[in-house]
Amino acid sequence: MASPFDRLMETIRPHLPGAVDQAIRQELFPVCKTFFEESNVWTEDLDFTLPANTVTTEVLPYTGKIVRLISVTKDRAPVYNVTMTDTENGIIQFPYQSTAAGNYVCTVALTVSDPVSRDAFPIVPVDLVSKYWQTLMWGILSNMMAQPKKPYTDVSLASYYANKFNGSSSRAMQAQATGNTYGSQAWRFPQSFNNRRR
Amino acid sequence: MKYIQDYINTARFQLQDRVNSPYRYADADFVQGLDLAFDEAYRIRPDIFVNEATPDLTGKPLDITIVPAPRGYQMAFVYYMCGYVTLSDQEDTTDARAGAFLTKFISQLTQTAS
Repeated sequence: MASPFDRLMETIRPHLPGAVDQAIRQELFPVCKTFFEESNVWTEDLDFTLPANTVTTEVLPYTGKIVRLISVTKDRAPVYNVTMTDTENGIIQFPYQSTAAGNYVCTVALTVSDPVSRDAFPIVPVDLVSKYWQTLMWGILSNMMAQPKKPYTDVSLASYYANKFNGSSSRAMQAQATGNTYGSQAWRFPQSFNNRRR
Repeated sequence: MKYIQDYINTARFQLQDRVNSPYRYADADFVQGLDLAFDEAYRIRPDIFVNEATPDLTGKPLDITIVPAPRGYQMAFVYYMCGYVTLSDQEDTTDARAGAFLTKFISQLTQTAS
């Protein structure tokens, strides 16, 4: 079965003369990690139950590693001031405890994690690779060209591709934050009054 | 080129050592050079060996053992083999040729057009 990264690999090879595939795949992991950590484009809704008389619980994504908690809802109503105290283990902390257990849904942003697939590609949703393969390619080009004393070393091009990667990551983050809409309201209420951020 | 024997044959062609009566350089010397070429390549281009172990080719059957040289770098390994065995010569006239082979090995690993 063709890998979702095939187009990326085929496109990137002419840009990196002398680079071997396993070195390119090795750089793919940190680039994916940075991109997904900064952009929040990889999200997953997780159902969980908060037991009675407790303030913490644990959630575990199906794949990937949790970067941050986006939101928590109960019966589709937002629950405020819930935090994630430990992203490695998915520990969610509530500001209160209840005498009865409750069912909640949290949305978390994810990034890549070990192990990788058998062909050494990081495990990422196919649709995200299809959508952002160019961004990932720019990140890899930047990282590879910044390596010292290789046939493909080029510091100025590394900087050029780093700018393209960072700009594209920022646009992806903005698109995700606005729900992929064009011309959404840019003004936001002053964030010092945002109760959820305190 | 795929097997150890292919690499040896190519190196012998470069060194004009193709008449077995006996050969000027032994097969074992070429294989030792090929083994060392991987070790040298690891020092110069560690990225080639990401998730790949450095092979141990000494003592392996020549005509069925695949040499795991990365695509595009096969001749670099042949040049190192040539330089390695030529360095063993006592004649001073071959020193420059041996140096040229070893320099070619390094430049092929580090520069695209070399």
